[in-house]
Amino acid sequence: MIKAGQNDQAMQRIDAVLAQKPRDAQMRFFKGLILTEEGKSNDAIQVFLHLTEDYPELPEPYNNLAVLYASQGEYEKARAALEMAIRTHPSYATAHENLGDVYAKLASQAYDKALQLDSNNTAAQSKLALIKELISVNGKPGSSSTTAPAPVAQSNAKQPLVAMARSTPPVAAPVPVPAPVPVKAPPAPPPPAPAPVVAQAAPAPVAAPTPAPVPVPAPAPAAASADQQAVAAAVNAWAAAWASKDVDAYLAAYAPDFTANGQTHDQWVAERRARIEGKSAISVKIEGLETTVNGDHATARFHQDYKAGPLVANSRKTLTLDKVDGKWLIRQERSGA
Amino acid sequence: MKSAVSGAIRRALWAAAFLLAQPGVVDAAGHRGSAISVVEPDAQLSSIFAAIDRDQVDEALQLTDQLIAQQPNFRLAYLIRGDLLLAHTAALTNIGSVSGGPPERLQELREEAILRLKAYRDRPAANMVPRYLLELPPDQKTAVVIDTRRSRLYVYQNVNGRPHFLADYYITQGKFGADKAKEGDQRTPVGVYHVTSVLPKSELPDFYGAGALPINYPNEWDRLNGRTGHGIWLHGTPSDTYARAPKASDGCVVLSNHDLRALFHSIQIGVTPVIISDDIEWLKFDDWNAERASLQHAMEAWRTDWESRDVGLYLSHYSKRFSSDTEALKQWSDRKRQVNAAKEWIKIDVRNVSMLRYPGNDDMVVVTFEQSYRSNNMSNTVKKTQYWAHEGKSWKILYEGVV
Repeated sequence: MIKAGQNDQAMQRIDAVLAQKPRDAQMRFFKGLILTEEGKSNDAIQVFLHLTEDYPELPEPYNNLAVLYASQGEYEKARAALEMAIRTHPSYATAHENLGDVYAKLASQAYDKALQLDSNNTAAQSKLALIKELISVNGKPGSSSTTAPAPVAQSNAKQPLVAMARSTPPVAAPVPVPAPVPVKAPPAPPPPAPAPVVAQAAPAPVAAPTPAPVPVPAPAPAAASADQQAVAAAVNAWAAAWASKDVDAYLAAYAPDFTANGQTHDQWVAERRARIEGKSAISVKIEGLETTVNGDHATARFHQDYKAGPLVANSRKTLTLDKVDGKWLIRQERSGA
Repeated sequence: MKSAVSGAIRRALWAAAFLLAQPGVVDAAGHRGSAISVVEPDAQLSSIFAAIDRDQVDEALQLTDQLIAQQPNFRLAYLIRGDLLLAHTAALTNIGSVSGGPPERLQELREEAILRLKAYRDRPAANMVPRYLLELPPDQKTAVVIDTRRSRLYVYQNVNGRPHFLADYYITQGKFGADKAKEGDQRTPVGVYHVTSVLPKSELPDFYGAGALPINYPNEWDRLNGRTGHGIWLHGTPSDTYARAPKASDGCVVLSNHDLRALFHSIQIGVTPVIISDDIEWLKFDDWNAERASLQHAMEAWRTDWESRDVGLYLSHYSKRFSSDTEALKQWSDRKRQVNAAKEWIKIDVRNVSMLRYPGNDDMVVVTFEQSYRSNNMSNTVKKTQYWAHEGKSWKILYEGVV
C-alpha cells in the first residue's frame, strides 16, 4: 500500500521527531507499522515490544506485537500478548477477535499432535488484524469524512496520546479531551508523502469542527428528534442484521467506501463476511443508545453486548454516520474505552 | 468470558467424561497408601476433568500443559489441550472438537479417555481382592491381573499370602478384543499365565518400546481346548507415542514404557502369575477368605486320602471329566489302583501352594505346589499343577500334571 519511497520519507520524519522525543508513543507506533509493512518483522517486534514496556496500558502495541508473533508462527507468544491487550482493555474487540484466531490456531496444532496429522501445510494461515491507529487513548469520535489533511490529523491523534501516557490507569472514554493543544515538533510532513500513513493513523477531522467534541449540539428539537429517530433506527437495523448474520444487510449499513484498521474497503468487507459467516450464532444487544445529529452527520454511542458462541465482548461503541441520499450510513466505527 | 466458555464445555459431551472425575476419585486414591507408583497421568487427567467441572478452564489448561511437559507424546493430552483452547472461540460438542480429523483415531482417543478416567475412578478399594488370587506362595512377591474390559493392568503384592494393591496401568489389547482362540485372530488370550523371559529393549525394534515380557500362551488348558497361536507378550510402546489405542495390538498387551519399566521390577520369571480376564471379579476380603478356605480344605482331604492308601477315597477327588496329559480318568484310576497295591505306607508333603482362579466361564482354579512324595518303595519331589473345579457342592480335580 505504501510505496517504498513514501515509507522512507515517513521514516525520516518519524526518526527526526524521535531524535528529539525518543519516548513519543505515536511516532514509535508509526515506526512499528512501517517496519511491519516493509516486512522487517523482527525490527517491528522490537519497536512494539518496547512500546508495551514503556506504555503497558496501551492495547494496540500488544495487539500488533501479537500479529507479528503469529505471522512468525509464535502463537504462544501471540496469545500472551493478546491476553495482555485484553487485560488492559477488556472490551477491545480487535484483540478479542485476534485472540480467537490464535486460540483456534493453537488448538489446531494440538489436534495435529493428538491425531498425528500434518495439516500445517493445508490449514489456512490465520490472518490477524493489525491495528493501525492508537485509538484506545482517544475518547473523541473522529468526525466524519474521508482523507484527512495530514498535519491536523497528526497533531490531533498525538495530543490525547500524550495525555494518556501520563494518566497511568487507562481512563475511560468520556474524558473531556482538551482542545488540540498545538504540540511542538509535529513532523510537518510535505503534502503528498504522508497521506497514507497519516490517513490510516488517525481518521481525524477535516472540514468538521476540529475538536469535534462529544456533547455538541443544541439541536432544533423537532427536526433533530426526527433525525435522531432515523439514526437510532439505522443503528438498530445494523445490529439486527449483524445478529441475524444477514451479511448483505449488515454491510449495507456502512458507507460504500467504509474502511477500518487500515484495510481497503474490499479487504474489510471480506474480513467481516468471513467473521460473521464463520460464527454459529451471534447475539448483539444495544443499550443506552445516545444519538447526536449535526446536519448530515450524526454520532451514535451505546453499550454493545456481543456474543458469538462462547465469545463474549461487552464494549462501548461509537458509530459516526453520514446522511447519504436520505439514508444514514456508518462512516466510522469505534469500540473500546 | 471465562464462565461463558466453561459453561459451554459443561453442557457439551464433556458431561459424560467429567462425571467420571467426581469426588469418589479422592477416596479411591486414598486407598493407595502403600503404592509405589510415581506421578500418574491418569490422576492428572482426572484433575483436569475435575477442573473443567469446576469451570476452571485456565487451570485445566495449565494442568494439561504440565501433563504434556511430563509426557511429551501423550496424544490424548494434546486432544484435550486442543479442546480447552478451542473452548475460547467455539462451543465444544465432544471430546476432540477438531473438525476434519480422521474419525477412527478421534474415536480411539475418546475411548482411551473414558477408560482411563473410569479405571481411575473405580480403582479397587483396599478391602477388595481380585477373586483370581486365592493363594500366593511365600516365594512369589507379586501377581499381575489384567482386565481387558477396563483396559487395565493391576499389580498386587503378596503380603503374608494376602494380595495388596500395588499399582495399576492403562493397557492396549488386541484389535478384536479378548478371548483368543486361534492363530492370527488378533485377540488377547484369557487365562492364567506367567512370564517366560525378559526381552530387553536393545534386542527389539522400536515398536516394542522399553522391552517385552513373553507369556506362556497357549498354556496346557489352552492346548486341551484346542486354542492356537503364539508370541503373546506384554511390551512397551514405540518412541513416538506415550500410549496406544485401547484396541490396537495383534493380541499382545501393550503398556506405556514408563509403566512397563516399573513392571519389570515386579516380575519374577516363571513365578509371577499373569492372569488375563475380560472382566475382573472383586471379592470382599471375608468372601475371598471363605472361598480360599473351602479349596484348602478340599486339597487337604485329597492329600490325606492319598496317604490313607484307600484308592476309592483318593479317586473320589477326581472329576469324571478328568484327564492328565496322556490319560483319561479310566486309565488314571487303573494305574493308581495297580501302584497302590504295592504300598505299605505313603507320606505326602505339599509346599508353596499357589491357587489361582481361572478367568472365564470354567469356574476352575489352577493349583500349583511342590509335592514331596515318600513311600516304602519310591520317593520324589515334583512341581505339580492341578485344575480344580466346583462340581455340585464339592471341589473335583479336572487335570493333574507335573511341570
